[in-house]
Amino acid sequence: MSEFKENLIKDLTPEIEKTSRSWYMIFGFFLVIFAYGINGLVQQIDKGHIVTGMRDNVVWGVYIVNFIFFMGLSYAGALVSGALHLFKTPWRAPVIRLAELITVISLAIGPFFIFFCVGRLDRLPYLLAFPRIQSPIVWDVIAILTDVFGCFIFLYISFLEDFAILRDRADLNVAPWKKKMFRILAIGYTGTEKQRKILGFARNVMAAMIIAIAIIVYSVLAWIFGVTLRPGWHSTIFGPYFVIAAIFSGVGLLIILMAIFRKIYNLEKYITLKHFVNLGIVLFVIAAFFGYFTFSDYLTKWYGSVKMDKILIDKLFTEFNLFFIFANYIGILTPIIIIAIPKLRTIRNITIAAVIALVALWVNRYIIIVPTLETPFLPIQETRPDWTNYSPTWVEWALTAAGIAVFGMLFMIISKLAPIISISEMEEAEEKRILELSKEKES
Amino acid sequence: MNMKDKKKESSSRRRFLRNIGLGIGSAAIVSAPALASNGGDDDAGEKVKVLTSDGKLVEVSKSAIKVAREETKVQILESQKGLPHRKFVMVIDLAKCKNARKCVDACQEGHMLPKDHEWIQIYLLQDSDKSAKYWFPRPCYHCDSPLCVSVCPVGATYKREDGIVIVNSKRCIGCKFCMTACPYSARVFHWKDPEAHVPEDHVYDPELNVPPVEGTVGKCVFCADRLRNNELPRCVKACPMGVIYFGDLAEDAVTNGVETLRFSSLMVDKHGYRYMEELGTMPSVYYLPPVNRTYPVELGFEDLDPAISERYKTQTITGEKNK
Amino acid sequence: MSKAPIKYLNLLMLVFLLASGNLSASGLQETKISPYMLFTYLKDSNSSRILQAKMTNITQTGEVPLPGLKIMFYNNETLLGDAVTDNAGNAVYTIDNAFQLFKSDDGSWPFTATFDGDSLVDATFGELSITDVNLEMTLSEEEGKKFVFLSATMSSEQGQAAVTGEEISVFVPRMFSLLPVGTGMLDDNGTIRFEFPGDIPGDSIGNVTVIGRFNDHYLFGSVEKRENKPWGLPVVKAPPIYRSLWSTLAPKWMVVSLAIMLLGVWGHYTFVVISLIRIKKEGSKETKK
Repeated sequence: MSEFKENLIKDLTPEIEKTSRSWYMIFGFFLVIFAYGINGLVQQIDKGHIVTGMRDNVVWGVYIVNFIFFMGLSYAGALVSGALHLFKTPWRAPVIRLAELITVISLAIGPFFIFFCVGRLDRLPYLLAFPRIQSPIVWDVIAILTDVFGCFIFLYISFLEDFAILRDRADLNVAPWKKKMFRILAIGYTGTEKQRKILGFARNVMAAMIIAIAIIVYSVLAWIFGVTLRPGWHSTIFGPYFVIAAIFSGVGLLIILMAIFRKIYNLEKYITLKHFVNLGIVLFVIAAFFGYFTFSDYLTKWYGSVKMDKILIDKLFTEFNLFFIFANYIGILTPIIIIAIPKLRTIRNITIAAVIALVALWVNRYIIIVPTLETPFLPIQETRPDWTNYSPTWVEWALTAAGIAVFGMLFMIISKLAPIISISEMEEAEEKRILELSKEKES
Repeated sequence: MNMKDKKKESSSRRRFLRNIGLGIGSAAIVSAPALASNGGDDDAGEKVKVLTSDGKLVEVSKSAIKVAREETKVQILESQKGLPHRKFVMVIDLAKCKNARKCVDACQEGHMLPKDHEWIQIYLLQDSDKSAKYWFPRPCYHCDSPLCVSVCPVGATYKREDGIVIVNSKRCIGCKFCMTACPYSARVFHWKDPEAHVPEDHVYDPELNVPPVEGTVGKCVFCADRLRNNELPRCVKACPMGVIYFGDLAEDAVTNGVETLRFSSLMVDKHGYRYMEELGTMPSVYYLPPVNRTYPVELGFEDLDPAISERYKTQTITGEKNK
Repeated sequence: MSKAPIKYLNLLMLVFLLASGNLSASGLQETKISPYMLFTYLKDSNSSRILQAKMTNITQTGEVPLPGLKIMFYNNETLLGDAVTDNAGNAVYTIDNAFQLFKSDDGSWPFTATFDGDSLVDATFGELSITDVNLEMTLSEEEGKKFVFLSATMSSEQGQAAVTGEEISVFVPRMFSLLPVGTGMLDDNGTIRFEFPGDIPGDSIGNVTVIGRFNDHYLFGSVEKRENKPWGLPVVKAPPIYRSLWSTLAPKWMVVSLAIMLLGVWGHYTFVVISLIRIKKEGSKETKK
């Protein structure tokens, strides 16, 4: 075994072997937040949806925003991992595993927010028993199920070689159940030529599939809004707009998680400034596209004289002014400026840009959903303030926090079961690099 | 007494009696909500005298009282078919509406709705700055191209052959997609337990849609249960001004309980139109413009519950808050 | 009558209500219902004379029918008969054709309908004075136009006299009510001729029932003559749209596109899963070696 690989394994396996105290503390913290969220959910099931801030006009609120947000995060794996794999980008090796993990975990959490928003949880199986395929929600159900399955397979395929490596590693100091798990999951992969070929081909197929499916899933999500007649939603740009926004959020989260894991697992050797800059440039390009789409959407609304569009724009520029500025100006310009100026391209700055972009995207979804619902065609003639304007209650915030907590917990658990950086990918990349170098030497 | 005097006396008396008796919403189910609004619990031991259908008077305990229902109860499958060879249409005469709100009351009573659920809602609208304000009753429009039906993922709402769009509260999962799709804000959601009590052997049917179910969507169903007995919907009968006309488009006749008119001549003579026709949903409810008003708009604020009258001070043109 | 299968609850008890609202208040057994009676007379197409008393209770939110009340019908002082109100609150009594009714001095029949009251409902009564009239209706067609000829006579000392100057209408029955298609005054001969409109929708083969009727007349009550004629426009309902966005079945292109996409994607998944199985088989072959 090469020295490189030896060092790699030495650096990555400690996390699988032992669990630090701080891990338990952080996990416990997440668990408390999760419990708080569950409490909120119980209240909601017990007393009805009246405990949320949703009322007859704004029938979709923070839950749907979260749903779209988490589904958007799943684009990290789809596009970053899938596209980078298909394009055989050289620097992808250390980040690909993280991207795929983000995808699967956010796909696992996202649909739960739909469940929270549905009035009758006990009738959820009706979606599968009596589906109407003319309904965008059914398209969404089908697409998400397909996407989850596909991303899971994709993740598993990329893990396969690492499971084999870990299984073969004799001096791995882990519990016997973990050893058994590696052996089962490795399904007898021994690295023969034939197996490699089969695996490589399957992986390429899945990478292409993932990209296609991700685009379909998010477009379908966008069309849930696009097919209604409401001002602000009935926009032809929604499909592509949501896809771009999703890639934006996915890349942003990837950068953030890279920074976090690099720090806590001491992976500075493998995840370097170069990776941050490269992903930062992807962020830059996507931010530019996103800004362009946003601008073109609002310009046409603002310029034309359609009454309902004007009312919506007025609302966005007055009541939701701060949100609008944060989401559509600060959120887009910050990443662009930071990455455009070479001097500013440090790991810390790029991470900050990613954080701002991510939060701005959440706010962007909020101002897409809520102001439109607050401006129906027939004027809202109501005296009760919670029926006129939407304000989320503690239940909704608690469940949002719980969703984030579950995200963190799942990540922490997986990081204890398998390496965060793909050993096989790194090995392959290193081999290629050595091959390139020797070719150069010869010539 | 000669003929002429008798004629005057009798006809005025007849007219007077008729005006009192003007179909102010009749439904035997009215008894159920009254029972329901008090729950049955504290009346369990009390005895009540009740008349049986063969004229005998009996004493029973209140909790054992069952309600006679004239309306036909149909199973869910039957309610999907609709009345054969009919196409229901409603005409609302905006020139006569004075916000008496008897339609709202009768509808809520008949369907056991909580007080803040209005399947027919009265708006105070103003088409533009210089136009006069007018009262605008808005039931569900039972569109011929219903967006709400298209987006329902489980088929809980469906359009029948007779044009009525029904909600099946036993199928609805409460995703509220139909509420976002409806451009007329015609649907309402049960955010909490509506606390309605029905007799134990009550069979649910979507045409009456009783009892309301928490976590599901509800809306006007053109009183499909009464249509089976050739009776007019509750709001039509309840309106003291005769504002709402209802009928079968195939028969070209609409009636408000007092007068019956040809639908086609009403459209021509008074220029019937549909609200926001450009949305293309093809509603089944037509409006007659508020010209030559019978009552001034201000009369609609008379004797109005202050909480309700506050509503109309908020905005009459969407997005433009009244000063 | 509705053609749909009618299911009635299996019960005998009926509830009477006071104003909607507090049942638990002491009211129920102490204050009685004050009913409203609508007493009407109809002479139908077969010249049967029908008296109808409709008993309702007028509450805050509407009119509640009062079933199960026994109404007595009188002509002057003579008891004609009785009837019990049905579920809609209607008590109907048909006067025997052979029965000789008492006439008042002005030539009209005095009728009274009384309800004697019971422990729950107050007593009430209604009065009518009906002058008998004979109505004849003739339907004819000339030059493609349709005409309704009505002639009304009433008996007097000189025999049959024409009824002049009274309002009479032609109706067509619709689902909830009668649609007037012509209204006018009888001329000096007691006759009137209406042109029946050519665009009234009828049933699927164009049949309509033409009704010539004194509608709730102050002297005559309601008197009508009915006849079926193929004078209406045939109304055939368009077949329902089988496949659309809002029907049960989706448009064909939607089903096909969805099927193709799903097959395509899940087909690839199956291929990948099979690849994994092949890898496993390879692996077990290797270990055996």
